[in-house]
Amino acid sequence: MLLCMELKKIWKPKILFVIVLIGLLCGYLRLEFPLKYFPNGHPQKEQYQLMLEWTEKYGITMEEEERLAAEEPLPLLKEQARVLEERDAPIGEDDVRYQAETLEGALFAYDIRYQHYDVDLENCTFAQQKRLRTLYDEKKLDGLLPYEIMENAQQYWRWGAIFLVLNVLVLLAPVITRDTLTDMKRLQYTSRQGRNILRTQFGAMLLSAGGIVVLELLVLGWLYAGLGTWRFWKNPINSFFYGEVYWFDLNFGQYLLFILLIMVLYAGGTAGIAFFISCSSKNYISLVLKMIPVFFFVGMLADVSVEGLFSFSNSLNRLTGIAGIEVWCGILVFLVGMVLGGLAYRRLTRMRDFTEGI
Amino acid sequence: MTLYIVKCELKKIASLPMLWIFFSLCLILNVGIIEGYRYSNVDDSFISYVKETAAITGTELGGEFSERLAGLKDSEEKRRLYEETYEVKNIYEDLKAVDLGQAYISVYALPDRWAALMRNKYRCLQPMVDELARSNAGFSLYAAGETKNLHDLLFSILFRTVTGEACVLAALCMIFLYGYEYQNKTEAVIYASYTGRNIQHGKLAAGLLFGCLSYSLIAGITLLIYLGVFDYSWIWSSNVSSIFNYVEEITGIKPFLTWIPFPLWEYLLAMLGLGLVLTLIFGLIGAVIGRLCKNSYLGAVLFFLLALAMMTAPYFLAEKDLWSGYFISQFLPVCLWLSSSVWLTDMGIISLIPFHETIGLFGNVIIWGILTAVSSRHFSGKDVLL
Repeated sequence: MLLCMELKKIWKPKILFVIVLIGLLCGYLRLEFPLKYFPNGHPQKEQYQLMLEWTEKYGITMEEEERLAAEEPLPLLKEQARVLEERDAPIGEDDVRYQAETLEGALFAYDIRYQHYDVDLENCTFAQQKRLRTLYDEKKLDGLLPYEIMENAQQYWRWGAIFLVLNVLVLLAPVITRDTLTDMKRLQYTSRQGRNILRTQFGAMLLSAGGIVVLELLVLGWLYAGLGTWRFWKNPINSFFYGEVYWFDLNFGQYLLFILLIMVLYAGGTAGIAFFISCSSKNYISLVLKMIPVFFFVGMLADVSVEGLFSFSNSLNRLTGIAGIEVWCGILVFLVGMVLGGLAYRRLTRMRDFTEGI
Repeated sequence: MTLYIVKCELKKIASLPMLWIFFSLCLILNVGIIEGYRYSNVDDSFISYVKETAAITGTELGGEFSERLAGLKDSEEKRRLYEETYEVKNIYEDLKAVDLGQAYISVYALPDRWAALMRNKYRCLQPMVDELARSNAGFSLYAAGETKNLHDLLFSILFRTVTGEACVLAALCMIFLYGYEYQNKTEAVIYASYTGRNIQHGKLAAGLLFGCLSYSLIAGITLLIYLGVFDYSWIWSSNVSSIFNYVEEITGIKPFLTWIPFPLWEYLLAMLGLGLVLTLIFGLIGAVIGRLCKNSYLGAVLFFLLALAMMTAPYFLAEKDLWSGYFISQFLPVCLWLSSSVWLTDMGIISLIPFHETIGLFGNVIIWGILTAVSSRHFSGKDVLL
């Protein structure tokens, strides 16, 4: 019952309306591009189509004999492209020249996928060299995946992660401060349940963070599903066609699930931090002045975690050299949130004069 | 009496511990930006070399400069400086400002009506280009090949960050002051006193004063740190329209063309002055929101929402080909803040008139001032018990 009341206090229509407006404006500014312009231009469109076609024909990886079959249409396409070139024909939307160029490029990328061993190793750390050797030795670069799909997913979900942190903060941060300002604490602490209400409030905040995660993931997921990238769900992310190397042998679907996991961790951590700053603020502007650096720091961490997740080029990975640092970072933020939440709870429950705040 | 109220209101702001923590965090961020940018973009040894060389060669490029430079001891830095400065041309001699305008018209496919205004703006710029050509302003050494990096750090990144921080502080503190009585349940006592609702004038004055103070402190301390890291003593008199300073846009690279010739120190002072005006505008925005929302949290969230909406407006309007709306939206305070790196220049596609930012900033002071006055007047006449 008390939990329901606390949830009611959190999910205020005015704040929800503000969150929706923020979502619409931020979505327009940052999410529209990866949704509207995917695949973005040529030859990305042709590359996407080719990989989709090959995935349907050959499965998630391409074998040597399949490569021979894949080459069959190339002479005809090249001939058609040559004729068009000779006629000086203007380049159209579904131009055969793009198709020929894409097919030739894809086959070339497939042919040299294990040939640039030494070149790659020169600029790598020891752990990266080891990973590359494994990929080469175990022939793990046969996967089919369009070039742009990973960048698009990272671009889209990194902003999703930032908005999630923002939404959790905006929704949860004012709850305890409001109780302090409205003298509700005197009533709460002198009731039969007493200061144990803080446990209920912390629980309600975590539940609400979960709720906002589910809502946001449903909306963003629904929009993202419209791109049709789910057709590559089982394709490995280490692909000969995509220049980036990843630390783990995941498929695209698992990769997306890891992004969601990171978002959940950051949302949970932010909820804990929101509880802490809410308990320690005696007025709303102090609260907002705390929310800004928290959003800046946690949002930035969420951003760099999702951008280039598990790849050699990920900023956190380059800084630390630890494989999977992005998830560890998410776990750390989650733990920090829980510890800070716990500390605020402990401090408030043991404080002699409860009107002081923490 | 009013001064006493202003003092009391300032005390309320100063008694916020988080304010000082936030203030410190802003300074830490600014230092991080300076050091991060210096580490990744700026060649310190080259700047030191240019400084030492300028003492011998002078700071105006030309035959004499090259001759003196050639006589100096050979080094990697000397070779670089020599390559950058040998037989440089006065780019302003052949520059037709209208061509720059035409590039924007073509790339953005501006409709005729707006294209004519754009051409007109660049026609107005031509006398300045001729003046720059005559005065050899382009031959100003500035920091030679490192000019772009230093100028970008100071005016594009640091200045925008500092004004942004001060603007947020000014608006939030104004919202705090206006919501203070409601939040502390002192409304009834205050409004029943002799001063009564006139306290809002004291709040407004204190909020604006605090905005000015916070801007001066953040900008002053950051500038001191910046000047401690980079020695500017030898380049203050360099013209900001030096050939080494340029703007990169979708239409290509163009010179840093200001509406009047600016030595660096004058340009910095002008920018700081305009930054102060922008901070005051945000203080006024905070006053309007604070007057509308009794709940400070909702007020602060509304402020950020409004800022976000202002940020989105030009993109939305340009996408819908609503060019009149696009050009008007560029006068919004947040858009002016975003374009601060090109203040006092031609400003490219953003503007259709000379001194866009100056007109925009003072126009905003008037508009937000009127809105503040209207909201105050409304508050003075309404039943406060409701």
